[in-house]
Amino acid sequence: LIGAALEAAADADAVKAARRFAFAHRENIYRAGALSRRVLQLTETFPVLALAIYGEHWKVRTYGARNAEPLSSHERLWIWDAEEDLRLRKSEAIKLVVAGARLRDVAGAMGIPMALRHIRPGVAHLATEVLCRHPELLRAMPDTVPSSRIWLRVVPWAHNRVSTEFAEWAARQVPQIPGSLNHVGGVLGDIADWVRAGMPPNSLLGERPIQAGRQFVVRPFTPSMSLKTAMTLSADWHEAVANNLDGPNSSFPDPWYPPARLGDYEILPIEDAASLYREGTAMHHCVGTYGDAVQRGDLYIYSIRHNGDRVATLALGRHNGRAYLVQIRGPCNTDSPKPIVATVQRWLCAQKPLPPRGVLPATDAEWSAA
Amino acid sequence: MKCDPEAGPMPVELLRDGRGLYGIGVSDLFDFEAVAWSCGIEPEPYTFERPPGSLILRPDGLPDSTPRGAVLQKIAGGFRRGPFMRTHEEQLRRFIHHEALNRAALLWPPPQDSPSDGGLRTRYSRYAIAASITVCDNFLSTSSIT
Repeated sequence: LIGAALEAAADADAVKAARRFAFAHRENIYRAGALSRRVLQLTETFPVLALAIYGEHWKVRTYGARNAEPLSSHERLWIWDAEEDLRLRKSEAIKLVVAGARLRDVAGAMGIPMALRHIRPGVAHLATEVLCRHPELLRAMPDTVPSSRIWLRVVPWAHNRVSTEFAEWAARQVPQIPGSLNHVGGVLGDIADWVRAGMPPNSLLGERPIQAGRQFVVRPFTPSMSLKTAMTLSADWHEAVANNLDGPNSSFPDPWYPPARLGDYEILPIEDAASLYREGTAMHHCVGTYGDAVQRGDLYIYSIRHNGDRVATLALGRHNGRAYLVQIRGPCNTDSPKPIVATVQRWLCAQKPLPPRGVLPATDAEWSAA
Repeated sequence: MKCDPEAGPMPVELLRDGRGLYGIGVSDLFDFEAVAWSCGIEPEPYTFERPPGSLILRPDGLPDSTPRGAVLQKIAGGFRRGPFMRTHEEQLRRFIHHEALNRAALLWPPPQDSPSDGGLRTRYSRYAIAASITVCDNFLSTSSIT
């Protein structure tokens, strides 16, 4: 039916133009394009501008920790003013498009630099005002849509997380990092932590500075560093931080179940905060933030190894005296392969019920009795 | 497009006016709430499944309609997750599917499980899939959104 309806009723050119954009924005583009040929020309020549004018995604955004606290009346007023300003800009831009004004004038009405016209329609929704303020970053954007999709997500993030200088460096280096968005984001996130630790507090944008680990930065970040150097220094810094985790917050309760070996797989309990931190860093996921839950006895984390290599991280929860599988994740939060999940479930089914909290048997004999 | 006279009225159909085809939407016969109102019956709220709105495609009808999140292409439906899950086309496809279940004598939404019927819902779901494929195969093939 939808094929018949599109063929018989829809404007073919507008449908073709709209289908080049992301799903969420297609209908808005179609509706505008079907009513005006000039809009269709705009979608061809400047997709980001077309989406900003006719889509709903170009919103007033705020930075930093603004969302962490209730907005003050002054901030509410500022946002209201900014939204009203955006509405006025849009209506002015629509008038200019309909009147056939120069592209530069339409872009000027929306405050979008001409450099953003190189962003393709399929990733136009990823353009943010960071790129409007720093259009020079776009010089390093890759040509292909899949690569630019990753690039457009992580480079503005690097700007907001660390600094403009780091974003410029990331813009050049991100195309060299292979893998999915999760992997690239994980690598860049680790480097960003190290860069933030080595920067003076007043040079950070937005969020509060991280002072922890500052003493382990042996060589601070400079924009001329290669990716390899930055990754090496970042890995060394993470290792130094992990090795120096101490105090009451770094020790965990005894493991719920002892280490086990099933076929080629080893299931090893993570027994201190440093090991948990290393697991999270090595696997590029958020397990390092689960330390509090482990200390409370709500969770226990196990590392699953295959011939010594980390292949997955397992989180066990407890309910009615039984441990159950909360989640099992591979590198970069990917789903684990079925053989690993099956192995873990087989291992878990063979385990005895858990004793009450805080009472864990110390010897194998006590484990058996429990 | 084929049309099976024994399949009954289509829940989702192409919308036409004096100038021809202008979109796609739920047939008036399947807006049960409106039908009930026209008969002078005031149904309880949420008695009927709310039908998805019409998707207007012809340019002259666009100014009087609202965007509904359509992706303007054929979709692969039948999954609870997927790229088309929140699209308007998927809502229309789901409406067709629910009508197919009802025609196969499998009420939608399904009756609530009671403690004594252990697992009825699972069996119902399995029957629903089998029945909606076999009994309403022809119906679905003529009115599928995909």
